[in-house]
Order: sequence, then structure tokens, then C-alpha cells
Amino acid sequence: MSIMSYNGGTVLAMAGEECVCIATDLRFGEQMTTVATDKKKVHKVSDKVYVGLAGFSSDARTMLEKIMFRKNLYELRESRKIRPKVLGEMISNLCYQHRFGSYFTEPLVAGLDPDTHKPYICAMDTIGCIASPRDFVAVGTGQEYLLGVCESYWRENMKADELFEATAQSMLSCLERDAASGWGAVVYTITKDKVNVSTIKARMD
Amino acid sequence: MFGCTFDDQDDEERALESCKQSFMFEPRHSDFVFPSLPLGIDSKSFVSQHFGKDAKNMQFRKGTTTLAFVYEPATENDKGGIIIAVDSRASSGEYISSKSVMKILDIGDRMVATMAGGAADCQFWTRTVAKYCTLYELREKSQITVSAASKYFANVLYGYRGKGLSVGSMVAGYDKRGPQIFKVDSDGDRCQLRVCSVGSGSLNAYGILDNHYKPKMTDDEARKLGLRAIMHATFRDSGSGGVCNLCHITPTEKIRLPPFDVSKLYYEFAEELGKDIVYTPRDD
Repeated sequence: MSIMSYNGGTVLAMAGEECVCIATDLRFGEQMTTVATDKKKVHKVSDKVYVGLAGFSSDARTMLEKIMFRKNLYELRESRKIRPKVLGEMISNLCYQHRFGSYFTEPLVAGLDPDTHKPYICAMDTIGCIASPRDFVAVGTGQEYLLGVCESYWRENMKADELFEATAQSMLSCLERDAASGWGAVVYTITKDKVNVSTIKARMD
Repeated sequence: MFGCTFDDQDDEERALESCKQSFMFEPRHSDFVFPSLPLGIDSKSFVSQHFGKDAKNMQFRKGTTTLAFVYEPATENDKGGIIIAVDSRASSGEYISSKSVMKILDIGDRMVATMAGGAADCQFWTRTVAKYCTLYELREKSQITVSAASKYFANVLYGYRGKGLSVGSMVAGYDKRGPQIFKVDSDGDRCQLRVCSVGSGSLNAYGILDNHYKPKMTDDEARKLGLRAIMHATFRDSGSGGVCNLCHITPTEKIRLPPFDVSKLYYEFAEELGKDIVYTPRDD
């Protein structure tokens, strides 16, 4: 087993019309053993900006601390809230600074632009190559399963409730086939008015 | 020759004798052999060279929890015997290739084998043992013992030792000596046990089994114990999951119980304990 799937875990983000969804599973494992079932991989960075970190758990945590440090510094210097696109580029830059000894984590950014409410999602590899499609992105052990499923669930201009349904169903389908993820999931639905957090019931095996 | 009448008794007997000679003979062992690789190539290294170190979707479907135990009836209303409980997941690495595999395979009317390790290896060699047992019973006109069947199984596996077979099986059944379980594996090992578990989730299953097993139990208690051990193993072990298949072999019959969804079982169990398993993120 590779280090990227040592702890397991999957993060998915989908974009809709003035809304984005970001979902995470809750498993924390050590190879085949499930150690905890309350480990979310999505973290709030700013009001409507969330970051997901899949991969090796201890690197993900270190990475989150570094991201928060840089983001705080940015917001103090510029005296304004960070935009998701800026955060994506910031993380990409951080990743590439470790090009010859990278952290074993794949970051994902999802959020709304604080001014225009335009949705933004992006994912990158361990050394910061950004992929920012308009529909959906996924990282983690269940990535391959998700991209296939999302292809059929995603529709143009989905409203927040539709988007939540599509994201939750895609995530649950992925968890059925990926042994390294699961044991519950959390979906964040980010709209311009509020962020809705809901825990979804998943299989416990 | 058939259907016509015979004039006297002698003719009939002679005809019967010739019938017997031409149609009824002792079962011969199959002379089939597996084609071997060219000299100097080892089968194990052949597989890892051409299909990768942990070859996927070949016969290498692993990750299982299987258990079996013998118990005696606690009351007169109980039957006692053997409980065999297994999960139903087939996986290669992190990929779940099936959620509904039947891992309890029939050997005879009163005997089963469980499946752990390579799915193809287990299915094929269990079939071979089942055939041997059927032929034995036809020839000897008596039921084969669990001991004999498992020994044949172990001998076959020993013959292929070092060739990369992956089998971890429990042969369980009821015969003239009573309820018996034999654990057989691809190293050629064979041992008789009263409480036994095999597979990647076996340690988790043992945890429950060792805690709650009693030599004397009611049928309901025993079935629930098997179910619970499998459920807890599927929760901790990512290689096990799906449904729990149960088989109860009593002194008189073999009962296959309907499958139980282990995930549903987990939620029921959590409710029973009053355990709050709903996760709510604290910050954000």
C-alpha cells in the first residue's frame, strides 16, 4: 500500500449556481484497520472558503497549519477576506515549494467569491498542479470512483438543494466501493447567505 | 441386453455380472495435471512478474472474516452443534469487487467449508474435496468424517505448497464423532479447534468470541454471538463487510439462515447501547 492510502479518506467538491458543495468521509484508518470514525478532512479557512486535505493524515494536518498561517498573513496585509481562487494559488505555491520532498496530501479548495458569489472549486496533486474545472473535483482514495459517478449526477446550474443531493448521493456511491473511505460523511453546502453542514448516514463496514 | 427377458436364473446372473464389469468400476482418480511452467520458472515469481506484486482481479481477492464454533445446548429445547458465520466482501486492495459473496461452501449434506484467501483457489479446491467426499460415500456406503475430508484437503494443499496458493479454510460438520471444526490452510497446516476464526478480520472476531463464548449456550445465544462477532469485525476491518451469512449445523440438519446486513446491525447495536454515533463537526 502506498503512503497516500495509508490513512484513507476522500473529499469531493461540486459547483452549482451561486453555490458549492464540499463533502468528506469520516474514516481514519491505519492500512486495513479503522481507528476512528470522526475524522473530517474538510476545514473552514474563511467565511465561504473551505479546504479539503486527503492523503497522509499527519502531512494533511501540517499542511493545514501552513495554509492557515499564510492565509492569516494575507488577510492582515490586504485587510480583506481571501478569495477561493487566491487561496488555491497560494496552496499551489506552498505545495511547489516542497517540490523535491512533497507532503503526501492532495489539497482541494471550494468556496464562493465574497463579492461576486461566483463558485470556485479546484483540486491539485501533491506538488501543486491546479485543476479547476467548472463541474466537480475529487481527491483521495475514492477519487476514481467519484469522478465516474459524478459524471452522471452533475447537471448545469443546480440550485443548493439539488447540488446537496447530487453531492451526497455521489459520495455514498463512492463509499460503497472504496474500502479505505466511509464510516459516515459530512456535506457542507455553501450558499451566499449561509453554510449548511449536514452529517449523512453511511454504511459502517 | 436390457429389457429382454431371461430364460433361466443363470443367464440373468451372468448378464448382471458382465454389466457390472463394463459399467460399474471403482472410481478412479482423475489423471488431470496442471500444465507446469517451463523448467526454471517458479510459479510464484511468474505471477508477481507479470501481474504485479499484489495482482488485482486475478484470483487474488482477499480480505475476509470467517468464524466457526462448537457449542452444547443449554436447555432441552436447544439443538446445539456448530455455528458458522462469515462476511460477504470480496476486495483487492482498497477496491471492493463484490458485496455479496457466499463464503460458506457446501461439501456434503452435513459439512461445509468456509472461504478465506484467494477466492478462486478456495472455490476450486473445495469443489475438489466435495467430489472426493461424494465418491467416498458412494464407494464406502457410509458418510465421510470431517477429519478425513479435512485431511484430504490439507494433503492436496500440501502437495501445492510453495506454488503460491492462498487458502484459509475451516471444514466444519457433524459426523459419527460429533460436531467438529478443522482449520486448514495453504501451508498444509490442519488443526482441530472448538472456537476458530480466519481472515483479515479474525483478530477482531476473536476479541468478541473469546469474551462471550461459553461451552453451553442456547441456539439463539449462539447465533447472536456469531452475528455480533462478524459485525464487530466488519466495523474495524476495512477488508470485511457486506452481509453476514450464517449456517447452523445441528445433530440432525444443516440450517442456512437468511443474510443479515452488518451495517444495519451496527446501527441497531449502537441504539441498544444508547451510544451516540452521529458525528457533528464542532467548529465551522
